[in-house]
Amino acid sequence: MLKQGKAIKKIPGGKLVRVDASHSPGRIESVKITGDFFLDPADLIVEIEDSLRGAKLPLEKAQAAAQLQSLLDAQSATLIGFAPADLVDILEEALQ
Amino acid sequence: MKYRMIPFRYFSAAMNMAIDETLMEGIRAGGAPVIRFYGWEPSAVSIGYFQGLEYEVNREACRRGGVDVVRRITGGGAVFHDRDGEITYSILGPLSEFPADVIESYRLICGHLIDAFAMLGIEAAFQPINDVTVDEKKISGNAQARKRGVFLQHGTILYRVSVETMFTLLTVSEEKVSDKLIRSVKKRVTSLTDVKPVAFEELAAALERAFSQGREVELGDYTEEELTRARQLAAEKYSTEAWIAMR
Repeated sequence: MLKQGKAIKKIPGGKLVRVDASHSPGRIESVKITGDFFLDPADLIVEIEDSLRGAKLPLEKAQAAAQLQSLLDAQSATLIGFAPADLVDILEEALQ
Repeated sequence: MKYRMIPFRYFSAAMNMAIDETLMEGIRAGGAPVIRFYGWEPSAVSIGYFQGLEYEVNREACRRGGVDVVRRITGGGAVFHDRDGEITYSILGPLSEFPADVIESYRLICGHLIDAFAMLGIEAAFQPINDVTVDEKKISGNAQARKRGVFLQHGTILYRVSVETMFTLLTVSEEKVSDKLIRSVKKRVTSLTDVKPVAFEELAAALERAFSQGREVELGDYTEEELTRARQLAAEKYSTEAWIAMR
């Protein structure tokens, strides 16, 4: 049974991030990240969303944040407006 | 490097975004950097690359008002580009022309806007990450993208603003647009004519002068080839539902 949720947060000194997520028991099924942040290269947002799909629940937050950071590092990406840990917090809230 | 500066001219939303991409292609192929000023005809809403269309735009209200909607290649927020209410600029060049640090590059280019306001006798300030403010109210929003060796920053300078119209077109975090909300935004957003009676042409001239300072600049225009390529991109990309509603 799929459950859908969303969470929105304006990061202090940063940007607004919205996460729409769905999950089945024990597993993330889909993640969509939207907002007025900046990410270069832009296409990386899809990879980030894909990387979160299939993650086991309950979410290992530190591990998920580290994984996101290594995705950014691998492409020398610039992310402005939120940090990987912020995204994981918002994702967790969306999954509640 | 010598910049080609293209004076203010109106285009549709899709064309404006397509021209930026066309100019990026040209620079990637070795062309000179470009500074261009433009308006939006008809008026339009642009949303940031990562924004969810349905969360940001009241499309029915846009349709009713004859207002175009387009997605930018840059991040940032939703902007209402009133045909008579603002001037937009783009500056494009090879990455090597601009600071590698994102905030520093915003600071540099927003500095031109601050210089332009100073020429008009108005004190403005850079407000990181990407805004310019007057009396702590936002008067300019800016956004940039770096794609395969080419830098683009575009931004809008508010000349005259109707917060009420803006809110019929934009959706604000699912809250109902209340008088209270409009009042609070009026406290945070301003426009040139709210600060000082300045003619549109004076603003355009000040911006041209400010962007020319410390740069080698030559007045120019779009080439026919560029406009043809831009029309193609406007039709095949920027005006398609696949692009506008991508997220």
